[in-house]
Amino acid sequence: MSFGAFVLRNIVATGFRSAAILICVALVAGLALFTALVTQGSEQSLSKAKQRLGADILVVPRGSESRVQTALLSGRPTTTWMPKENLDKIAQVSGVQRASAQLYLASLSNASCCAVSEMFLLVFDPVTDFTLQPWLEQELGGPLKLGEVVGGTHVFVPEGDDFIMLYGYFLTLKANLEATGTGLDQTMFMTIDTARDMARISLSRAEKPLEIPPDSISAVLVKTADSERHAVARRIQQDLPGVAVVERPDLFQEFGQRINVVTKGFFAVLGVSWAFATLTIGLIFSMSANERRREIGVMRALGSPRHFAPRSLLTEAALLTGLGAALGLILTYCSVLLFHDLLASALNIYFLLPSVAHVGALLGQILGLAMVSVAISTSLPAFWISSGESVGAMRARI
Amino acid sequence: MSTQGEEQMASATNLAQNPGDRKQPVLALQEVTKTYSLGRQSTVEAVRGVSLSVAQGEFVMITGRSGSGKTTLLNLMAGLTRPTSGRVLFNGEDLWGLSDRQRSTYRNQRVGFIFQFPSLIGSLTAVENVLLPTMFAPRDRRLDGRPARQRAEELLGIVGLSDRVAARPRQLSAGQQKRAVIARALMNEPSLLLADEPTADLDERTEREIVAFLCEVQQRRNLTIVMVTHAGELLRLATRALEMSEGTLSEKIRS
Amino acid sequence: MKFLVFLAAIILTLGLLAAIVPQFTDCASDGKSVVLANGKSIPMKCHWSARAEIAVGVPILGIALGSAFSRRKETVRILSMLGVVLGALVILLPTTLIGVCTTPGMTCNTTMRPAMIAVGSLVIAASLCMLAYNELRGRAEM
Repeated sequence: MSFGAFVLRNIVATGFRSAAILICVALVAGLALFTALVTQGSEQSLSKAKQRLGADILVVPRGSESRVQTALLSGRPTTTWMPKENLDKIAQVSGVQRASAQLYLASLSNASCCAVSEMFLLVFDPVTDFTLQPWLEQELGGPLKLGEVVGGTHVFVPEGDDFIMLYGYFLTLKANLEATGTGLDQTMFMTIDTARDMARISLSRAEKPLEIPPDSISAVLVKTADSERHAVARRIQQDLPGVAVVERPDLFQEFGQRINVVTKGFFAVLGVSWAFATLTIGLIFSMSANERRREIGVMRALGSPRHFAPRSLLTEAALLTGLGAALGLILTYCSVLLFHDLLASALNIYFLLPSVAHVGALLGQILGLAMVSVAISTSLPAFWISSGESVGAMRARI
Repeated sequence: MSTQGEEQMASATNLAQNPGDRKQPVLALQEVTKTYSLGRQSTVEAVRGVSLSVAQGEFVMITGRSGSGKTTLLNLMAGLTRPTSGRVLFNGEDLWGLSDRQRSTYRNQRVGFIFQFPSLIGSLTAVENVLLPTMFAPRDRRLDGRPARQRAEELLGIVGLSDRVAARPRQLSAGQQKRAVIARALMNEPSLLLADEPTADLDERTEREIVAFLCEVQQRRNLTIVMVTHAGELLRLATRALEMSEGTLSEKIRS
Repeated sequence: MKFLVFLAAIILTLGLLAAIVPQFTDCASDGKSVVLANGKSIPMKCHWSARAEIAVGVPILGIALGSAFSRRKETVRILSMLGVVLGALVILLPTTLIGVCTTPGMTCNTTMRPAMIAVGSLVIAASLCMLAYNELRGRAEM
């Protein structure tokens, strides 16, 4: 019979023990992948959200900085206002390369007139904007016209319709932006002209009219040179005491800290599980090696070389680990893929799923790590059964 | 294997009483001693200065009390345990001058071993157990696939287990297991068969059948057999009877 | 034989999940419905997907029980094939045939749809295992 068939026989003969090892490895490998997906996915999400905003400095009314950042990340709308003249004052601060105002609005919630509810509406000035405009030029070949909008990846035109209706106003969805994994995916972006036109129409057509305070803005986005960012932020703060200034690295800090806490927790659990699983598997194979001492002695008498027994033990370990890890990794990836939205809301963190190539690399790394861990834990019992005389092994009482 | 077995036993007895000429030794032990350490400054000499020559085709039986060193002697002959002093020669070659791989090949190709204890591998069927030695054979001498399986089934047929090839050891009686072990020992066509109390724990009838079979195989294939036994009445079947006592070997006087 | 009963038990559990889980994860269970122009409320389409899953889940239970208690290989073979078809239907109902709500954050999208894809896939996998085991068993006994 072949070596492979012999090893498979041994695995099947100790069915319960083999299944226990398989499940143990599957669980730990699955947990490792889950941790990696959430950790890397949330970092990627955060990075993309910052990129989407595009600003080096975000200026908002004092006291609203936390609320605004939460709204941007969660996609649940908020409104906040400051005088429009703040834009001119900020633009004149030394070191400011560009400054652009934004208005934060909300769609009606649960209104019968509207196809969508609780949508965050981010209004920008196409003349001064430096975050969306470049993308619009590239993707659409020009700026948005009156009544046209772009949306995050989750904004859609209702089935059977050609337009999105908000406040009784028909909007044309021109394009969807790339996913960020955050609430920005549920955000709609429109120009100030479209917003004002919508407000005008809403007076007669909407259940509740859209109110845009005159001469007010919600936020100012500022572009500076990287080396000057901090200095510019301080100057803005000094010149405008009634505002809160958030620099790019500090954007979404609360969320970033929450991710850290959650991922540290996951890593801690993973570390303990991995160590425990490695020790347990080593122990199981030590027991197995001890039980098979007489069998190993018999095989030596039949002419097996000294390395046969450790080789078969290590091969068994490798097969069970490979199969268990593959099973755990595939099931975990499929589960995260299917239940991504549910997991994000349950964990209260946003995370994007990495690309297939990246996931493939992760799978390979975790599988490799699992094989190495089990090889290390099994090497001691393997060495133990390869040493010592066969005669002593055959005398072993079970 | 019942009345036919008894006839074979009678014929074997006849041969044993007329050993014939001594031939060139296939196995030789020269002043072999094996000492085991039991702990601090405590040792036991299982085999003491044993010298023995076994010629091709001889049927040597060794008796002795429990703990007299019989099993250790067989293990030394198989190259399973290194002598503390002295030499073990097979066809004139010192076993412990060979590498571990060469000794493994010797055990696989030249020696068939029948153990005292149940030695079938529990996770394998009877035929897979018989096939086990082929797994360790050198590549150029390995019997694989269908020819190997055919030979294994033939051997099981010869020992009367043709209808039990797919049975696992736990599904076989003690006697059937012993027969399967004999078939396994013959799989690689060895020239030397070492049997450690092959009839222990068996009833009288099965014991007679096993021994008759061994005699038949020995005659047919000119096999050299060294067998350890407690059963004194079987000594008449041997070409030579020896007695092991406290690690030393002497000729057994047969009545 | 024991393995067959084990697979049948798995399929039974999956059939129950297919029939029951959608009833608690559609938008109607969240209190959401579509309000027509005349003011009348009608259930969203995920509700109809959930109802249809009952019609698929119950036959899956029948397949599980039939496979567990049947001694005839031919019966088990046919039931396994049916299991594959029904497993595919479990997946197709909330994805293609009827569908669920489009808004990503809704329960039917975050929970019901992925759950049915998972359950349907497992029903297909278990049925294929049963089919393969049944065929191997037949060959071994020949």
